[in-house]
Amino acid sequence: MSDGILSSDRYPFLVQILRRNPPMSIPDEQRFLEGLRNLDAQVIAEVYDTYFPVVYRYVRYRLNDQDQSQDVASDVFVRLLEAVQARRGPETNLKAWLLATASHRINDMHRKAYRRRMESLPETLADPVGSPVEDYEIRERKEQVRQALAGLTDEQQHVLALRFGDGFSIEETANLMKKNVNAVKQLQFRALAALHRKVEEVL
Amino acid sequence: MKKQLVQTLEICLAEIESGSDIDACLEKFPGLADELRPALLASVDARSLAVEAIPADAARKGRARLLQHAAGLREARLAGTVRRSPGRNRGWRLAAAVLAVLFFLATGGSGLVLAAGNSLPGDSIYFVKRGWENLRIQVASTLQERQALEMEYQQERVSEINQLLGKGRTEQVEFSGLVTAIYPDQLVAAGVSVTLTPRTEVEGTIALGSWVEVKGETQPNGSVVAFVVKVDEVETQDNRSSSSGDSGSSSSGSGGDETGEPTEIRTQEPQETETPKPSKTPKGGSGSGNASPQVTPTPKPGDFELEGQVQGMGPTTWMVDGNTILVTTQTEYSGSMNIGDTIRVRGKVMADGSLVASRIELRSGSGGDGGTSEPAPTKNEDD
Repeated sequence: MSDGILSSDRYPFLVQILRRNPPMSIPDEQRFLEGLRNLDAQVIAEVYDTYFPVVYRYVRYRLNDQDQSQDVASDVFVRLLEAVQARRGPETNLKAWLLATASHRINDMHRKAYRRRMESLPETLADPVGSPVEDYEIRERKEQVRQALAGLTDEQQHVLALRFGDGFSIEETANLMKKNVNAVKQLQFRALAALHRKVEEVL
Repeated sequence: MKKQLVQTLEICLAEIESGSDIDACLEKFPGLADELRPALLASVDARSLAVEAIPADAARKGRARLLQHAAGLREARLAGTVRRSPGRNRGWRLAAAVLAVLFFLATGGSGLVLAAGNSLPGDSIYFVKRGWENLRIQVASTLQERQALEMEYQQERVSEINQLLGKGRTEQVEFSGLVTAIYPDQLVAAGVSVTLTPRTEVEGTIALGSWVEVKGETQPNGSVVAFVVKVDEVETQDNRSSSSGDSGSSSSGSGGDETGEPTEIRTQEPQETETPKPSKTPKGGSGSGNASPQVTPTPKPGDFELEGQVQGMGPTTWMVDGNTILVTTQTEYSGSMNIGDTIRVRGKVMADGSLVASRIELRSGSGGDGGTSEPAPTKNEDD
């Protein structure tokens, strides 16, 4: 798979993402849930290692703060542990539960105005891992897109984070959001259209 | 028409993801080009925000926190009793809960409670947060719910401390947690570095695996200076009995612990004391007793290098072949490491004999499950 003209010239950091997470087999998932119920440290660590990348990417996509993202992403797993202990945890589809919990957490934070202002100085923005050599124009553009993303509805942000942050397919996204594929396609279209409008407003 | 539009968008998104460009896609659908173009341009912007690599710190700290939490839940389950919050009795808690309710009613303070949710020790509305937490515990309908709330708030105390330390604020704090490392004049509990001074009041015998309640003050250097450290003998006893026979094996990533014991950083009594590389076995802090690890001579200040197996990974300390290694924000990492892996550590021996890692490099994996699939990037000094 090669970069197109658009990606290499104008968007050098456009990454063709195909982070398809291999579907978890039912025995694996049941083993995970059983291990969580039994507080099996080895299984708990395995659950964390398996799902943390997906959850972190999702949270980091929606939150413009590395430290906050770390806290929220790890908090999701603590909540999973407590929910399973309290018999309120997922019975199936662990990934969907984790991402939904992350989404709710982020939505709560937004409602509490916990989010840091997007007007903060560019040098304070913590994104050193992904773009150590990004030039100013690209960072500016990303900031504008982030501001625009923050202006979308929670559900629009959610679908964009799943599709473009984590790289889930439309079918996987539908499964995670517990919606049918057509509904997700429409939501995606509205989200992208809204994102474009917001980006134009910011410029 | 709308259905055709969203279907066509999906087709174009797949083509762009495969390397095509927007104009080439739109040429195939001229009738929809005007409506599709903004969405496709936005999709390129949306993709640009994706995180390419996950910081090694992010995964490691969260893992340690989760396993610590699990250890606490396990202890609570074994104890089968309500863990008492430090320094309180039921009468005081009830009084505090009543006061909180009255305050809430008097001020119509649901908004205040929400605002206090993110407050930290030292903030003017922090007392509202604590009062609300006490109220929730008091009105918990089941023992399980109460224990879950107490665990949650214990984690919240640690989170508050980490936030204060991150901000460089000096505030009085209290928290409780499992002791996972002990140095001269310092210990690590719940991932928090606690400094012991001659004025620290220690109640009980501190040892690895002890459950301690700490009252102290956050310091700009990233640790908490302890005024009081109290060992909860009941919790410690349960923790020890549930992990007896564990001679320092770790339990995650490398499949080493069949009993499913908590993954805790434990010292392992060194098999050899005549190793040519500097090694340091942590000694007990004030009042330590039971876990008397073998003491090796304090290495002289200077550079060190050692290679060994990772036995524990905490937010600020790692255990490597019985040696406690301090990791900092300046530590560089090469490779994605897990417990059980063989690593090489280079760093400096400090004046107090502690080993501070400047670089950690993966030598060979244990082959166990878990861990991030992407190699952790090497941190630059200017990060």
